[in-house]
Amino acid sequence: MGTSDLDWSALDLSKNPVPGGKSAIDRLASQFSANGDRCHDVSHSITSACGKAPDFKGDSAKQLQQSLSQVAQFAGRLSDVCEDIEQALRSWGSAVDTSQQTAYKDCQRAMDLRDSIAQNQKKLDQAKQTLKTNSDNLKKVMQTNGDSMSRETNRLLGVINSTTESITHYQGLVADDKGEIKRLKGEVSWVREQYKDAAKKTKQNLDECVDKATAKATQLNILNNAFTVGDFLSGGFESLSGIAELMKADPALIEGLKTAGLIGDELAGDWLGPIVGGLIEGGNLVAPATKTTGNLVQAASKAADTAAKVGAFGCIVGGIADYFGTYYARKEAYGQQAATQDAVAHGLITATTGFAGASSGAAAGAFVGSIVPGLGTIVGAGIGLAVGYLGAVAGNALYDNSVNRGNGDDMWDHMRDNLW
Amino acid sequence: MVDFSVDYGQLGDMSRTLNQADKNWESEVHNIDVDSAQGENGLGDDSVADSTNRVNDNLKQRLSNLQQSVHVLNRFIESVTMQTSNVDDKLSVEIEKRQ
Repeated sequence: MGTSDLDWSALDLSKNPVPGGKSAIDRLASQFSANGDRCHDVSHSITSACGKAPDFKGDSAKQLQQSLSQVAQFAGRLSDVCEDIEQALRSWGSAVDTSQQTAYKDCQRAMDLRDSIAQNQKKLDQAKQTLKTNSDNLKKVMQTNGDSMSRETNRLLGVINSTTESITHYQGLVADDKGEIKRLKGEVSWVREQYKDAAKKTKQNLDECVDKATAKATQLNILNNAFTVGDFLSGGFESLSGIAELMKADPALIEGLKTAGLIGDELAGDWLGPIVGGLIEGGNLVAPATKTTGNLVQAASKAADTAAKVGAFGCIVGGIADYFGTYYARKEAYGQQAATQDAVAHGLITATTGFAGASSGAAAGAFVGSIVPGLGTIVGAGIGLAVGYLGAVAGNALYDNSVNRGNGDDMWDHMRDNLW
Repeated sequence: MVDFSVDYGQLGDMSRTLNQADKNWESEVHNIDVDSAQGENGLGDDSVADSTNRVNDNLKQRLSNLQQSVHVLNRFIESVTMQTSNVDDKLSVEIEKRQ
């Protein structure tokens, strides 16, 4: 029997007290489950590909591995959340189904009883009418014949007796049916309470899923922001790859820079080192390069390009370091949103001014170094550091002063606060 | 390499994984329409329907976060792989010159 055939007024209800469709709920649960499987696949694929940890060497590679790991964890978390949603909905579907099995059966039974009451009520009414008719006839017969008992009088008395018994019988049936309907109403009311309890529990479970999904999302948003700040990181790693290959090609250069203390294995963590390293490379590599190519201008250009690559990487690392430093320093004091905003602003300002400093320093170093090897190093380093360092300090101070966050009450305080 | 060294075969595996997830995301991840499952033959209780809608909206946003991350990482790994290959080519030419 379809739900549309049920008449809930048989239980004095205006509508279905336990609405819902298990098949529709299960279908929805399956869709969440399928999305969970997809997230699980992403998580599993990244985790298995990323699992060979010893193959990730160097700070930047570790950072990549960490980022991949975060994405894998987040995908895994979403997969768990989808599974929780699926479970909550399937439990709800089962609760709906159980409630409906009882409520629908009771409603059908109440409808049958209502029909039975109507039929018995009709017979009851007919019996009452018969009783009235025969009582009237008896009265007339007795008026005609007096008190003497005639054959007709006896017949009418017999009919009246049997009709009275019928009335009692039908009244009993109607009362029993009404009693049963009352019991069914009580049962459906109890089922409705069970249904509401199940709904409350399902709502609670689903709301918890929202919290679970949100918890890890903040972490991933930071990751996404870090990766998409002006696409610098992508460009940074491109430079990085180039630098790494150049280093492989010219180990003597690397050893020299290391000996001078300008770069080290902590290259990614020291953003000034690569900039200075780039400037020195721009100034000092020109002389041997001219011997090879015999073309001074071309060599200077090549050296400047290489230096700019090194410097670009350094300023990006500096920007990212400033991003995370600002975020964690301000998260507690100003809240997550303000800290993220400040972190992005500081990261961009530091990266941009660092890039300007590195580029101008490298170009100056390459040009002067092509004429007077050695002097270019000093000139380039001076220009690069001045533009990169002072520009970042002034830019960050100006920003902090405008949003009135960070340590200090005026521009000069913010300048001092942003000095490294 | 001083700062960045991975097994490029491993990076290729990851790139294929992320690339597949990135490209097929729209077709493989369901856009769940909870509204279509409302009512007497759907989710039934209004509070359950409201919560399902809310969790679905939240999950859509989170899946979008994940999709964005997969896309960014995919692009990033492609970039690193391509750049490394280009540098290798250029270096081969440069080393030949120097020799």
